[in-house]
Amino acid sequence: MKNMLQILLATLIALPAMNGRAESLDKLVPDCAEILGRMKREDIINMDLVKEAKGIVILNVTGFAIGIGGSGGDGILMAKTDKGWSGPVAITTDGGTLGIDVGGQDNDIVMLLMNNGVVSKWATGEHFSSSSASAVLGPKGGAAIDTTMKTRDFNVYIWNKGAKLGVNFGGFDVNINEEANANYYDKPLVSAKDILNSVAEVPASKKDGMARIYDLLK
Amino acid sequence: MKNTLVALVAFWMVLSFSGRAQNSDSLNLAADQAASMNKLDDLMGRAQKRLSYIMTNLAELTDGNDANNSFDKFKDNLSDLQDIRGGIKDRVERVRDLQGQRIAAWTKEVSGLTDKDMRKMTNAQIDKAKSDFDVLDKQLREVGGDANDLTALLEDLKKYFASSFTPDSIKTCAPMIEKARASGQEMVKDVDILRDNIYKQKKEVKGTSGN
Repeated sequence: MKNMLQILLATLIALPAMNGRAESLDKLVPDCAEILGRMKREDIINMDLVKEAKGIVILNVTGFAIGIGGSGGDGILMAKTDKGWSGPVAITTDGGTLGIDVGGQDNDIVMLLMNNGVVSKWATGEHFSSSSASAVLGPKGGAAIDTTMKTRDFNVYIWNKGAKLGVNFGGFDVNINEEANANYYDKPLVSAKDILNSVAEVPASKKDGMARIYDLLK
Repeated sequence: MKNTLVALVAFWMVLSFSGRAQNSDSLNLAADQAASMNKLDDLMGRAQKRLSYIMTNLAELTDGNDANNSFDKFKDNLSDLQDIRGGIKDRVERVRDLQGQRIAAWTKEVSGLTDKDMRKMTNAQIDKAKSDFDVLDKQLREVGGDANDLTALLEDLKKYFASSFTPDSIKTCAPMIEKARASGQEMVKDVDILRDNIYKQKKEVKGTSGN
């Protein structure tokens, strides 16, 4: 009986936190623009390396309530195409220690995905174990970039109330937020692959919102 | 022996704390000003997000399937934007006020310097701080003026649709909606440029506060 009560209580605590994370892209896009804008302004992110990246993930990762464990992130994934940056794919992340245990409960994260294989792994919603990818804190803005930085899977940037943190990359799951993508693109069956290949384009009514992110990525 | 030790520890503690309390007025004001600029930057970020929502609402008003819903969201977001603008205006006044106080305190402190070269050097720093802030203040006024024009246009659109909200009236008003969207887009860019400068200035001000 006592165990059942504990499980019920844990579920009640966890549910609002998890439901609260699956945001619409109308909200996620300006939030992610703000994250990217701050990292660019404060010279945290290396824009030369952005030019080399094949994809980008912009996330806000929050720790769950004490006792529940793990962490959850909400953000967007974009890929570079022949026409420029693709539209956004709404994603969530579950579990792992994506930056959380190195710097508190609320971290903004930008990951530069340096090869198409890693972009595809994100697009199919895979599990990333701590040993499945080489993730290193990216060089700061203005720093010279070298081949190692260009060829590793990820260059990670983490911001937490002005602190630049080290990378902690434990196992986590990537989930594609199908509902948010369907609503944004007004296509019930739109796939992450179609968005990242620009087969599904950003609708005209959403282009104003995306303009800031595209500007910031220049 | 024990008493001597206690006295020594007490003396060391008094010395340490008195050292901390010796921050000049200008340095304390610089710390306050940097904190205030941080809050101003946060407010501007919130305004940019709200403006982004509004532009999407306006676009969906003409392109979307649910004009009523888009108009309701537009009104809510415009109301939030106006609230945030009120906060920005107050915060800008606070930053200006702190700048004035900081420069006045710094100038007073310089007058206490006896060495002529030291005075000259510090006065040059004060002049630079003043001229840098003048540039930022000019930028704040320009963006503020454009924001007034944009919010007036958005309020006009709200009034227009409050009295006439049909597919025809939306179509008739399409050029004004386009104008508001284009102005909104410009505003988001201008605010990013302004925030870059606020960040640079904040770093300068923080440098003088020793934080």
